[in-house]
Amino acid sequence: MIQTQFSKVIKVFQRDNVMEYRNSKLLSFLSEQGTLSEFSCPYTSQQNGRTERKHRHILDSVRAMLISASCPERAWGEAALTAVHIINRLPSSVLGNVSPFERLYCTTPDYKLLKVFGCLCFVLLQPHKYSKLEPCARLCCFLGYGTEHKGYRCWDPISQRICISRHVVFWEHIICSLPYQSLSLSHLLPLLSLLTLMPIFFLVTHMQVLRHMQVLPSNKTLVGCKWVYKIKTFSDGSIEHYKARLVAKGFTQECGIDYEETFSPVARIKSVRTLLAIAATRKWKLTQMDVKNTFLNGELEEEVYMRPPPEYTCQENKVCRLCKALYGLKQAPRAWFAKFHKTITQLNFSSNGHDSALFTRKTENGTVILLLYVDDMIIICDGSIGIKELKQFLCQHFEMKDLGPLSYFLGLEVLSSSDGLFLSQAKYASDLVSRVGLTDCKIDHTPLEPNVLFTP
Amino acid sequence: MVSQFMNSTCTIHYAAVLRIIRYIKGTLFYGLHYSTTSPLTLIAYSNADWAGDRRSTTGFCIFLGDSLISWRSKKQTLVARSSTKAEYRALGDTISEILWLRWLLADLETSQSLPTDLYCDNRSAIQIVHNDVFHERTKHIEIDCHFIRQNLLHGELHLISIGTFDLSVQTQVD
Repeated sequence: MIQTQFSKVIKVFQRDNVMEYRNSKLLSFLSEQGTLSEFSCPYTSQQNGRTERKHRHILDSVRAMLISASCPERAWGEAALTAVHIINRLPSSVLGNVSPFERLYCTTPDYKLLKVFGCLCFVLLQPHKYSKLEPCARLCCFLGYGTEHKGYRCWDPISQRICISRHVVFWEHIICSLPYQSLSLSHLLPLLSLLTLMPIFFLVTHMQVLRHMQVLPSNKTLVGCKWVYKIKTFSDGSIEHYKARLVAKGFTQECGIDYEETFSPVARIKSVRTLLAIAATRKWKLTQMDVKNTFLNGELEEEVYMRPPPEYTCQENKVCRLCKALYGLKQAPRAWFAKFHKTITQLNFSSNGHDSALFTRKTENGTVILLLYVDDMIIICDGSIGIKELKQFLCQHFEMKDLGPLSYFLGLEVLSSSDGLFLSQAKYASDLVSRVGLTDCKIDHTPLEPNVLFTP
Repeated sequence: MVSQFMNSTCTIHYAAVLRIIRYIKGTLFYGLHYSTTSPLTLIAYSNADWAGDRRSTTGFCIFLGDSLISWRSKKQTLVARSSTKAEYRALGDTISEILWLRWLLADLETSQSLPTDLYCDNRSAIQIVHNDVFHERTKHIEIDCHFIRQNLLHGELHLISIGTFDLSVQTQVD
């Protein structure tokens, strides 16, 4: 092939001692062509350095691509082909900043054809595959470039096959992170509708962001933003809901310019236990609630300007002036706590001097205690009147989720019975054990061997 | 215990971690029981392991009646030259925690009207607290001394001596 394509003759064939290179057919073919054979010494891969280095380069790229695209391992073949395709088109300093492709063919490669590995794409179906009113394209996962065809190789989750096509539309900002062997239409439809509904979603949940569009003042910095998608699952793995969230790229903010303080108090675990111990003795009621989209409630004191999200079309030099916090901003947790503190004090709750995240209110109807840990809260009350009032108040001000009687808080499982409360961390501990892969091991009765001495 | 070797880990530490996990597997369903019949008085136990690894370890656990609510086992920041000093520093830490809990409990309508019982197994440490005279050898722990004695005088504390083997903190520090 090399002879016909590039009119060069292979003079020396260097390889290691693997069996497939040692068979007599290959050896006789080589001697027929007049090519010298060179083997590296047994167990001396150093002599085969160039090949081994290339090998590592390709494997490293494959690993990175598979991880970033969340692809299963069995897509490694496609990933390797794509990696080689890209490596051949990357400028190399050894070749004087020219890509291997350019050196070989004397033309620059077309970089416009390169796409993000594993991204979502729509492949146009062949005319006989769909009727007039059916969708004319199918959602696939982009896996590589055709070697023999001038087209793209895409994984079709419905027919479970690779299809090669020239008519492909790419959505490179979305990684098709679903495991591609179990991708079914029922999984994809909600995701798709979510993606197309994005602008509407955006308007609903982040309305306040867009209200203040203005030109960026000259001495202010701009923060970028991006969409983050997440599929929330129940404990058995079935899909609970799809989540899309606009996050600000807070890592570009600078201390002293864009934000001042970032710390935000949370409840001490000792206060949690003390409260539970008292509640057990006094037979107080324990309720748990959490706040949805917690950080979006925070109000910003600083002036923060954000680039409008990519889907949102507006006049060019306009940016968003943020009045409320977004996820990702450095001051978001602090702004949320300040907002919560301000709101809850309206209902005559006062923050405890010894634990700032503990709020109490004493009236003639009884005592209500609220313990806040970022977005989770425990409400403890000696009667039912106070708790109802507090819940109503919170629901008016924030988007709340009532989780009922306390059962699971910060990894602490709380079992309530007639003779008291029982706290355990069984779920946390068993998760830990299964993560290490020791679920079937024997049990030790002590955490350490007696009289063991550790030295660094 | 093993986390202090994070910067230079080797096989024995890994084996120790695996053993800890095997131990955890056996104690999956262990937990704390907060009884409805528990009294609401604070009781504290303090202990120290002197120079286990050059530096000593502070240990304490604090109960609200029968319910364990706070504990610590932490390496001290300074090197103690005598076990008394190590115990003394542990006492100081325990008392800070007791004070915080007493304040918190007062806010939660469970004021501690009586001094809190603090059990300690080191007689000389207790002697120093009760003795007004500073000796040459205790000069350097003066601040801890004053802190503990002041709280003792204010009636927030009641120090009780206890045999080493009765101490429930002992296992924790070891």
